[in-house]
Amino acid sequence: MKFLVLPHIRIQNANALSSPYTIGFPAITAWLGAVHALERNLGGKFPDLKFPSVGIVSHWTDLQTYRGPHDYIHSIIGTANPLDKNGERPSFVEEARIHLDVTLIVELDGIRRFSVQKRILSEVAKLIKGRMKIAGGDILPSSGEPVIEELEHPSELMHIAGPGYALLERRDLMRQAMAENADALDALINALALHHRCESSENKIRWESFRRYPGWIVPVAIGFMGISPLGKAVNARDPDVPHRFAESVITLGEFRMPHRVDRLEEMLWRYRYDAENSLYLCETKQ
Amino acid sequence: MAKKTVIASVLSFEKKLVPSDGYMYGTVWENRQSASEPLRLVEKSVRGTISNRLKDTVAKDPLKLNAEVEKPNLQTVDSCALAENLDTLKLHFTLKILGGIKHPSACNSPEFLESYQKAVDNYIKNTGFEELGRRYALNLANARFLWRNRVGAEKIEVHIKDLLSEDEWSFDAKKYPLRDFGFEDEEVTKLGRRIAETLADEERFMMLDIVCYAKAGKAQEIYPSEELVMDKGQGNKSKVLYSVDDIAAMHSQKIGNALRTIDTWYPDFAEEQQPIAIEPYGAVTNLGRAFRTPVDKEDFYTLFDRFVAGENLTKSQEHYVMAVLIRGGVFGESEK
Repeated sequence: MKFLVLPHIRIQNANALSSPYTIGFPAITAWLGAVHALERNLGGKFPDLKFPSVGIVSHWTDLQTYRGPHDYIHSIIGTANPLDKNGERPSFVEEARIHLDVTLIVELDGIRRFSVQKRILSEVAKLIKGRMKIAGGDILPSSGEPVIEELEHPSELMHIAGPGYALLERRDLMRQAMAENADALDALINALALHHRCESSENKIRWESFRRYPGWIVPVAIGFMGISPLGKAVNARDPDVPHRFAESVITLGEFRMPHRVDRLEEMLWRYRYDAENSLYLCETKQ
Repeated sequence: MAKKTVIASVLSFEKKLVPSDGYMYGTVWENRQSASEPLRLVEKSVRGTISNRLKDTVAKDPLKLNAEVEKPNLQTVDSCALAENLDTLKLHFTLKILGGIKHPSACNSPEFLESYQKAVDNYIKNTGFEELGRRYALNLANARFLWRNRVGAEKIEVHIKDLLSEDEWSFDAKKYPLRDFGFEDEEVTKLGRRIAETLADEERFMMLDIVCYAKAGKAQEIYPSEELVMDKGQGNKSKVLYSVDDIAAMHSQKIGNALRTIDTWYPDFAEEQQPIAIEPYGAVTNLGRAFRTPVDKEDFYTLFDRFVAGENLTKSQEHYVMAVLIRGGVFGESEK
């Protein structure tokens, strides 16, 4: 398959609140949204170009939180808003921010001729480094140059982008837990929590700490579920598009080194709309 | 009579001057271009004195005062300083400058957009952004972005490189005034014109790499940004400084604020003689004051409505309105 690889995009102050109750990495919708925006920006010049799916590889993150000595919790490092018209300090809104270095691999569809590739690359570089933002963050000039690559296996990414962690979907873990009659939220927390257990033998007590599943399991926000009928909304960005209330859909994901991922498909996220259940999802083919 | 303005309820502009965080290194002035090492944050615990203003009942009673002053005032703070053999701060950041001011990042009223774009076209045709470009360039040349690190520095040098065209400028920052934007200088004019052309363009952008050297003196204290931590938890550290990957750093927002400190058009300027940062209400945080209140009808929203309606504004009002749009923000009007 042909991919547009955007290696080592350095982003500053991106939105790290991926849903109302998860923090730490921008939501999948933010990444797919950025690539969708890229596709639309290129659409004028390359009408046939399509980006059906996207892989996200994280190399470095710096979440803007602070934890003092002996503290149990982290607190968000805020930013202040300018004074209001009376010279008074407006109330603080907690916004979690993160600095990132990520590589995006974007599936390419709709380019037939080799000669177009060069033009696409220069347009993409211009948009990424000039125009665009990702997850609300600014893209820094030190980001890498985009390339078009033929990829067969995830491990090939190591040559292009160096070590990093691909974000995979682990809905199977949720399914498995819920099949054992766990409530969805319990299953989620159970997978993320650090469990402690003790064993005693011959008057000796041994403590053991473990997580439910091996690997770097994280909660991911993968889309939205509509909770009201479609209708008109005032003050919407586009008054001609129907709107509805929605809530975040959250499941489990895993950060895993690409050379340990078996198939590219496993790390490629794509959109799916399920009209029947009012679901607007991003998912990978499992 | 001008026609009634239509204002979009959803309206926002992205910032057009996009600075990165500023990273801080230490070096020696003589070899400043060749070698440098990252500055780290250090935690210090000090026994302070009680020196705050005390209540009269305490202050006037020598016994009570003694008891109060004898209390230890223990503090833990982050601090940052040059190493004992280094005398120069090197600050490195990049600045992206974007064009396309005609296109808001969100706008839900085509009618508004049309009259807005007409007004902007006019502005670009009449001024070409020259005045704003020159002022931003001057703020790069005079190293205002060093903030407190600028104070007391013996020598300051700013090197600017355009990463796309490879053009370079260098400035002896001490030669450039902080208060006088009428200052004429050939190099600043050149850089300013380049910035102006980019701002005026639909699609172009520009990337500047900026390295600044400030000779502060051996082992002198350096001032990175302070972090805003609302809930510091159990630890009593009273000052948390900013670092990225263990390198002391300055917030991009703080650099941006210095670059847009070009407002000499607010009503009290004659009295204050101090340029302030471009803000919709002319807010200056450390003075706790807004210099452009809706009462004077010199705030951004009043002027912007008139600007879009095609009314005649003075040159300086127009510059101010455009500078706020370059700053970016959410300017929609709620339908209350």
